[in-house]
Amino acid sequence: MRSTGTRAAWTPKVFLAASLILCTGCHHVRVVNMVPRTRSGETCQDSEPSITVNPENHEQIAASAFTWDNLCNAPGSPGVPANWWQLGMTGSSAPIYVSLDGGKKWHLRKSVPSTAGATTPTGDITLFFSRTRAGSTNVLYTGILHAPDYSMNVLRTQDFRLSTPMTLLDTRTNNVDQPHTQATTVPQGPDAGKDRLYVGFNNGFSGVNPQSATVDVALDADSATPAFNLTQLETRSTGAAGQDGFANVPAVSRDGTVYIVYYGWRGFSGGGVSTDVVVARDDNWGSGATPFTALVDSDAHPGIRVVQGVVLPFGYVRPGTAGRQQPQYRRGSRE
Amino acid sequence: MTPFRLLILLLFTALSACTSNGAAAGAPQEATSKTEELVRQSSLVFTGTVKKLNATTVPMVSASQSTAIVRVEEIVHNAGVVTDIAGKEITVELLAPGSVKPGERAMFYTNVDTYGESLAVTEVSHEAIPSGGAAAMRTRVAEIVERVADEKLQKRVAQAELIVAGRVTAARPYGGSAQHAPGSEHDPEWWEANVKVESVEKGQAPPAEVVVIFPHSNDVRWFGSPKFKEGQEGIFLLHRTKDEQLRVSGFTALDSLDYQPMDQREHVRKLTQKPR
Repeated sequence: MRSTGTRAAWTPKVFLAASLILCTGCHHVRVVNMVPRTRSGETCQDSEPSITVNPENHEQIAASAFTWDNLCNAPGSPGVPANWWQLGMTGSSAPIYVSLDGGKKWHLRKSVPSTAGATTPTGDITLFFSRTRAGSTNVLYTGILHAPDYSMNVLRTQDFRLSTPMTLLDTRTNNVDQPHTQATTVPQGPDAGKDRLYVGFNNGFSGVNPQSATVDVALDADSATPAFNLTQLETRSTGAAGQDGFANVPAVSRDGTVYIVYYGWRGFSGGGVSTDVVVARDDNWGSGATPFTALVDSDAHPGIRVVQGVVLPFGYVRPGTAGRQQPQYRRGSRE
Repeated sequence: MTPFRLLILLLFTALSACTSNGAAAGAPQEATSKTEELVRQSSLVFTGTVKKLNATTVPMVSASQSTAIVRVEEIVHNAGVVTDIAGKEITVELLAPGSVKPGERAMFYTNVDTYGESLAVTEVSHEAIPSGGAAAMRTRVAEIVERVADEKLQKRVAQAELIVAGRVTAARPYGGSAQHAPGSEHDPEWWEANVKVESVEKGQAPPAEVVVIFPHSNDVRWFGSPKFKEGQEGIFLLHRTKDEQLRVSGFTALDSLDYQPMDQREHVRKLTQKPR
């Protein structure tokens, strides 16, 4: 199972170093610089990486970050301060990283819908291969925050190796954040061959929706026009926090069991957010009338609280210490 | 020849001269116009020599009748998409198969398609290298790029409700001392700057000082927005913003163009007077 939970822990600088660690039988570790030679001068904020391996062909790997279609610096002068045109997207498609040799070499192909001139190529982006074959590769699903409007787009491509814009499948708006994408293919039974797609995300932060832990589900994602259904995972009060945390991460088994872990926020004071770590489960692909309610906790709410009341520092903390000329800030927990 | 016929002849001659002068002046203008159109569509313009057809330097891009390996000679225009590729062989994905021949030298208008060990670019157009070579062309392209930049700034100037020249006298978190309730990791972390007004270039400013709200966050969504510091001087292009979701109300400067250095005052002033 892929762990998307680590994505936010990486810093931009780590990704600028762009290292991918491959463990082959754990006999040795290979460190690969994913940034191809022809982009070695890039100075972009190439942050929050995500990676997925084709389950049918481990040589094929796709990876993503906030990657511009230019180098974010002056021609021939790496490292100089960016100016207006260098911050903007040059074209209307942002790249993903593509490897066809198990991660030894990488290319950038432009397939993520963006906007020419946008100051970011994309917001949060995660991607995942299903097991559905498409020619000599497999179908790839991607969840993004589209630049510059930051709506959530769910995308699909039949061939991640091409510089062709991915197909838009679903859009969600109004303070949405952190799409975490997972997919698989039903192996047997009446739905055999159908792609199941799960995009956990924060649906309505900053007061839009006080119970914002949500998953967007398509039970036949590789169909021409797949239907998506939203399931609000949170049923408990989020108190003064007024919303849930951001990481809503699904994990799907091919037997139809789907887990989602999320941060249920319970209150806010002193710059910290009182948080439960909640695990929800569905035993039939999230397809029933009351999906993700298979686990019920002692308070009769769906979702087991595996951790309760932990305080996470979040947001903008400004100690009221008199006499300080500059306020101090604690960068919010990125969970 | 009668005087009348002489008059007609003189008029005809004068008219012909005017027409032919006009045509002579129009040719370069047309060429510039075409060049401008191509430059606007291209992020990488270079001169190069076709080395091989039906070939590729990038494994991800299959060799076909539409691909050619081209040795880059000189860069004419680079919108920040490559570092030094002069002298390197790259793959050009041609607009039309068979449109170039091995050994042919040309000016290629392109966009980058694939980054890898080598580079693949998609052709927008190609043409014979003009007299004066890449150097002369670079001057023309620089003018076009400057014009495009001006258009972007002009648009932002037109959108601004208030434009002032001034100096930041203080910068601090917006919204007093209260802590924010939780929001998003993309929270702008609003700050406000007091700007002492030196001159008003557009709109009506408060008598002495204007408050500018700006995102202090370096999150990917906001890191391109201007960040103001005490003592900073410049031109501020201000936009009245009221956004409940972003929890902001007042004059903001969100675009990287919304701050210009003080030495651009005359230029901004001219743009405020330009017809939209």
